[in-house]
Amino acid sequence: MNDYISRQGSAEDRRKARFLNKSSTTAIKYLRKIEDLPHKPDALKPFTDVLKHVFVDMQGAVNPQGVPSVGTYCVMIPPELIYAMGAMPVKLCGGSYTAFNVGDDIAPRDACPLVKAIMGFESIGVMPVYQECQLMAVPITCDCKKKLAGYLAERRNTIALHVPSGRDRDEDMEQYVRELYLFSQKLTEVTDVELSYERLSWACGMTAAAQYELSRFIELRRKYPLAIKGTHYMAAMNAISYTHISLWTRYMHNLCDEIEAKAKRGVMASKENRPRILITGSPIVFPNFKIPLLIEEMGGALVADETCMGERGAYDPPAIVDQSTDGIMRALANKSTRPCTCPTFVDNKRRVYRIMQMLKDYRVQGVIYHVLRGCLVYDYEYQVMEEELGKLGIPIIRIESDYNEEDVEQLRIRIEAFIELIKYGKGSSK
Amino acid sequence: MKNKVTKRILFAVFAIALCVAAYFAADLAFFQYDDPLERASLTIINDGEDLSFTYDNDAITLHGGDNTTVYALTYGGTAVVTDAYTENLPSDFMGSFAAVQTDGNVTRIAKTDMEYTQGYTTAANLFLSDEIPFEVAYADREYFTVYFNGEPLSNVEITVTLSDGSQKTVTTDKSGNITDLDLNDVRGGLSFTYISDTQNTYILHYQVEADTIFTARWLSAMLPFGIIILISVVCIVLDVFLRKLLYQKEKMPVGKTAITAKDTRKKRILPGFETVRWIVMILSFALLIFGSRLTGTVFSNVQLPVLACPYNLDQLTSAGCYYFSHPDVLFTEGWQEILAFFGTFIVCAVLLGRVLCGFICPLGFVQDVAHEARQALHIEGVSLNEKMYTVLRLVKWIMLVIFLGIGFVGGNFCDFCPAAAISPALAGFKLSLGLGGFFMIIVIVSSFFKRRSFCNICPLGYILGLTHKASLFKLKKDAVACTECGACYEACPMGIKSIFTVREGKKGELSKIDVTTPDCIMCGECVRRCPENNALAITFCGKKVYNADRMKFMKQYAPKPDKYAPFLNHEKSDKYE
Repeated sequence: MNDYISRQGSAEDRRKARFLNKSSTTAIKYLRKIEDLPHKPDALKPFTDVLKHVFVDMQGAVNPQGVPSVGTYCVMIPPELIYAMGAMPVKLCGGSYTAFNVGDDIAPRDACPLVKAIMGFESIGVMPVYQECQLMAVPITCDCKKKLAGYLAERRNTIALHVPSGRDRDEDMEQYVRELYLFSQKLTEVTDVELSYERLSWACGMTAAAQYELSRFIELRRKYPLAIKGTHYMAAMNAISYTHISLWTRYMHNLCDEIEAKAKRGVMASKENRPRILITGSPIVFPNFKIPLLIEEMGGALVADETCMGERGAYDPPAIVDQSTDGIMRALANKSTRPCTCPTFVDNKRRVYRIMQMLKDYRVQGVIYHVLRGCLVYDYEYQVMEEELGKLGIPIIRIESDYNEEDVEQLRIRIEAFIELIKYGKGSSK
Repeated sequence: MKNKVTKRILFAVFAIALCVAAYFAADLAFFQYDDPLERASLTIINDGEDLSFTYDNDAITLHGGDNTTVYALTYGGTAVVTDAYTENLPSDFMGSFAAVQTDGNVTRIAKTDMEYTQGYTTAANLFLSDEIPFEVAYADREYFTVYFNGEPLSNVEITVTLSDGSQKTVTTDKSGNITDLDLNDVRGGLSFTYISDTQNTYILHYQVEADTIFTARWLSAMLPFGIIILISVVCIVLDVFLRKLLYQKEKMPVGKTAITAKDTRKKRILPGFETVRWIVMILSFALLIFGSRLTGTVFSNVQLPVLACPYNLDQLTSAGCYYFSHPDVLFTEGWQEILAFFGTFIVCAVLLGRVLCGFICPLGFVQDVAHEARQALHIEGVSLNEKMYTVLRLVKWIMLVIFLGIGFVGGNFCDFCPAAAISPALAGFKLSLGLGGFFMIIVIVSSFFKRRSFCNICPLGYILGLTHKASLFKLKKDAVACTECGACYEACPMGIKSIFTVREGKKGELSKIDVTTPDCIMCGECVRRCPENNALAITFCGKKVYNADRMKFMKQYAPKPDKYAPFLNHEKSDKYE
């Protein structure tokens, strides 16, 4: 800040300072909005603290001393493997508007803002959470991620994991097992830890504890009308990306305990007549929280999400059937690709089913289909989803947004109209 | 293309070799006991006791043998044993001895069972000779039939003296049978006293072989099984070390590293369907091996269609596998036998289907134990894929042809059957093993690396699975709840892929889709490994008995919440907080 005023240092330094200043301002704004929402559980504080730690205080990921970070980009990278190899995964999918503006000059116009933000972070090189990563692991999912892998490889120690585009064939899964073995060798170069059953089993136990708490959290969230505000739980799910999972587990344990106790007393986070909304589509990464915030501000109840920075991010547990090194590797490859609802896969009927199941579990009344501008794969699946939900009589709206605040008012009008449609219109079938 | 043809030719050669090997299975002996005749010896001593036989391993002793004629039952009829030496036993001796001693108006008779030869004959050991006026025969280990002068003795009172001296009075039924006697009463030897009229009294001492468990004799019966276990262990150790050697230099040893490991993390044991399955398996293993010894009864009319060896006479039920592999024998039996066989089969197939494979079959139990041993050692197994399962399916067809057809061409499936190596040996029956002994080694080693590998090629299991549509146990899937994570397919020991890929039922339904296939053994592994609530369920008569549950699933892997601390301390956190 002082640098900026006194005009000290080179132009590059000033640019960096400006970047930090701007991005922390946005982060503070959205954190405040999250914290200002009513019915905030006290146990949410550690999660918002993590986001504050990373995006406002500009510190690295929240991890124990001496654990190197590995940057990961999609849910196809099993965190278990990285923890087993003595490192810690940090999900680097960016949601920063400031970084998006920087990346806008690097990536083509039609590239998605998420990738632009990542490229922006990379080119400006000031965010510690990005800079401290000793390895970048990019699964080749959509076209943007493919080019991102190439871009990162020029600058950083990067490994690209070839994700199969189909999943029903055995060979596809076996191919991904191979990729994971290659990944483990790359990780050994970074951390000097050899792949071993004991470490894998230990890491799986650790993530299983986190997923156990998450499952508990999901069960609690199914309580009617609403146990925790959607924006709050999205913040908690975003925090997993920058926290060592053992810490996150403890935070989640406390959060679950608090919600459980409140639910027992009958204290809920929302009134009963709020339209119940599910959000799906492109990832919602902090600080790009405008859509969840708008939903709740407009009187809707965000009951569930089907996005990869939300519940999906840590949802699928590995089913370790064979208690051996190879058995765990297979389980990890299996859980990373097969249940994944990412639309980059050729066949994605399971996403429709998944959402149908969520409609039932959370008594959803309307679906908001979020598409980041340029996110083609998600845009493709909107048609299918509209058709399927039309059969069930659930209204769905496609909302396209970009990483800036210019479209907030327009989004507000559309979301408000949608919520009112559910509230008073034909959409309120339930 | 060329490669494909070569593969087919190789497979055809393998198939023919397997069939030929099965045909000559008896000649390719794994372990051969001496002929019972060569082992047998009879000693007669005059020790003043009542006329009776006793056993000591292969030596048989006749007590109180004054002025006695000893008869031996042969295929040709009753033969007189002239000298109590091995060489003088008749060459077609069937194993049963009888001795007769007349003392005034009391006729004492002693008789042995046929267990001596360890042979399996469905017919009872009847002499029906003029020299032996009063006789009892023990049939099917279930009832005694009393004969007097060659005719069944109906509706008369007979006093039975048990080995502990207690007496019982029983009445024979219309066909001369005594059914009130417990098998365990028989074991110690017992006397039948029949007073035909005031003049004549007949006392018959009947001796079956004394206890065979935990004796030197039992150990010697266990010898081939011990050898099998030993060779299997050697094979497994060799395999692990060879894999380590071979793939040491390989850069990408995917699934072939054979890393053996220790795990310090304690597993959480949760009681559930799996526990029930293990308890049932252990119980049925015990009952199908020592059943009649434990309970004292035999249900010989129940022809349970599992690979429990019929050579073991101590099991609780009869084994249906014998008639399946010997259809030629089946049709020479009486109609009751045929009815019992088909009746049990139909009832079992409809009520249980392949649940028998997953819960009851002793061979399945042995394979599961081998699998659990690998799990405990954390040794890498063979990761199977569709290609391998296709090959296994073809092998299963060959096995089926051998199983059903070998009886007609004069072979004996029992010499080829691996199950013959376990059950009789554990019960103490000395059974010479043909090729089946080698086969058993393959079964143990392969099921160590691949769970339930024999079940994949089991012909009897296939026949049981044919009726899966009528079976009351069903595996149901809810396609909407399912995330298609493939955990069920990974977990399935039978490699059933459709359970993972089916997205819609035949009538287009999305929930309660019947995904039972003829291969499914209802082991419940898929449900256990299913992380989605209600996605998979085992139903009985439409009622859910075992249901997938996410919280239960997570508990298998996650430690208890109060034990999260070690994770935090493992890598100390002092940077933050």
